[in-house]
Amino acid sequence: MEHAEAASLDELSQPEQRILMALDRRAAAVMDMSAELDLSPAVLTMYLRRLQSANLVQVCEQRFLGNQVQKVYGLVPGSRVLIRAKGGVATKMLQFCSVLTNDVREHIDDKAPPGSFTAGMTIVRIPRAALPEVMERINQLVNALEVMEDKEHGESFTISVAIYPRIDSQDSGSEGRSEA
Amino acid sequence: MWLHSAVLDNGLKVLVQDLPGQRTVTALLMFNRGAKDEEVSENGISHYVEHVAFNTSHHTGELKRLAQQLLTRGAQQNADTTKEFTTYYMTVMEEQLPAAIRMLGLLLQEFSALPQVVENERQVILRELSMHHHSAKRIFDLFAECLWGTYTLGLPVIGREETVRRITAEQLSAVVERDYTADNAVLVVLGKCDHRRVYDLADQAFSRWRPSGQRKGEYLVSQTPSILVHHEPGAQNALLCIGAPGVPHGHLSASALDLLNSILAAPGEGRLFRILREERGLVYQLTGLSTHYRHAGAFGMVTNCATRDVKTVIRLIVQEFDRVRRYGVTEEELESAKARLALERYLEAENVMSLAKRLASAALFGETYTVQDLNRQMQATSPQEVQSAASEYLKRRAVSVAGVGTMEEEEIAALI
Repeated sequence: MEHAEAASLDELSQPEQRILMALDRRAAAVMDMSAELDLSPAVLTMYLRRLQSANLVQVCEQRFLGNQVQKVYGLVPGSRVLIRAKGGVATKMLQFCSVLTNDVREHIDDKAPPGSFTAGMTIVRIPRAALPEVMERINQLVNALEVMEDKEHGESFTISVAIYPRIDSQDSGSEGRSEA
Repeated sequence: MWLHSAVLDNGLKVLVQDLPGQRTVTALLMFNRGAKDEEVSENGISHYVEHVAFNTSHHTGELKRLAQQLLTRGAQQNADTTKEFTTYYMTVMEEQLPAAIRMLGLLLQEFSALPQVVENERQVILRELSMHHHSAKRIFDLFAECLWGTYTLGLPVIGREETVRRITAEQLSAVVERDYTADNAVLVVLGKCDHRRVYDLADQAFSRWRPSGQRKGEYLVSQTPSILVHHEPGAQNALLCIGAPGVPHGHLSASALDLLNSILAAPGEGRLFRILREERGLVYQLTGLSTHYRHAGAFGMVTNCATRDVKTVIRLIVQEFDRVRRYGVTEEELESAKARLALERYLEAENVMSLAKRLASAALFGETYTVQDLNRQMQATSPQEVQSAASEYLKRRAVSVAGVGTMEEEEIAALI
């Protein structure tokens, strides 16, 4: 994982970021990380599950002891996440990354101007029935923003909108709720 | 009442017990095959096999004749699949025993995954799945996934919609060919019967069945306690299971955890039942969960409450776990729990079908089941052993929570 400002990452206290930093140092099993990060195995596993679904963390090794399997987690090679914002925004940034395609993620990472980039993020859940109306309003907004583009005066910002079905563990595909 | 046992040349174990005074006889065929043996991509296939095998519309020849004969004589037949086993069983009048054993012998030997039957059963299972997802039972699946991930014991027996939609007739036939073999099964016959006659009938019905020659039924467990919430927007109530990984079958602490479960959850007398229902009016039902599989176990408190009370209920349950770890249980509590558990176990042993399943699963583990042995071990458990088991297995760091409702996982994480 590449991160330009490790010091600023250190200041962040969100568990996902602490887990990513720990795994950046070395791959580890839940029990190893649990003590190091002072998180209970249950809480740690909860966050690891999210990071896995975000394609940031993967099981890189399985250890066998009798009939027990212990999973060793590591970062997904090549995953690049830029986290500069603090507090809740940073957590949401990670959730955001979970829905971006690699291309978009790379784009943000490569193009972000050093030192001054902040990301504002909002995650909302919407029912499937409201999706057409939400899409329509977002399109109107994006169309309005396009006329504001000023290519001649340097720094510009990109807005990415991701709408994706929320798949809970017990959900069937057809009953999945939408999250935007 | 002697329990007679034999092993056929092909490896099929046969257990027979004559129960004097009975006119009926129960025959059960259990396989060491369940969700624990499934790949994630084929989750639900054991249950699917059970459905297809028991669909009588495709039966032909002798199987069709036997099925009709038994049904017209009032035979009760059914099947079930669990995480570890799949069982086919029937109860008949004593004179129908030869037909019952013969039919059990043919069910899997003549398994045929006809496309029409496979598609029909797919629709039936999807209906069953839909009903399951709207029932309170789903909390048990969620808690299993919470403890063991989406791997062996963590997989739901019924499968997932996406896997059930994908399973093919070829996959069903391949699984039956590979795992539904004589040396991976046990036949149990209880009731009005003579063991020598049952051996003869079993030999005739099952001798053509080839063994696989391979060791079956072993599996790995990935124990990863977690917090897992299935979101149900707008729900006014929540389903919860708060617990921890327990111990496997035969473990020294198994009885202590069973007793502790009763001390906490028994209706009317359990500590948490009193606190949550009788003193605070927070819950309607509280069910104790103390399960021992071959290679892992689960301990938990299952309940439902109003959405606004979720945090309070979780906090009170975890506090009670802490209290037992710190102060243990009283002699009086333990004696009551022993009496309750002994009664439950004798009731189970006096139910012919439950007894048959107990005998069968023990035989597949290479053991012999008697309710007396089980209770003897339980009666010897001391208050110190219960406290010690609580200290070992109900540590804060082991606590896991599964829930269905509107709560967020982070909110729960802050409570444990």
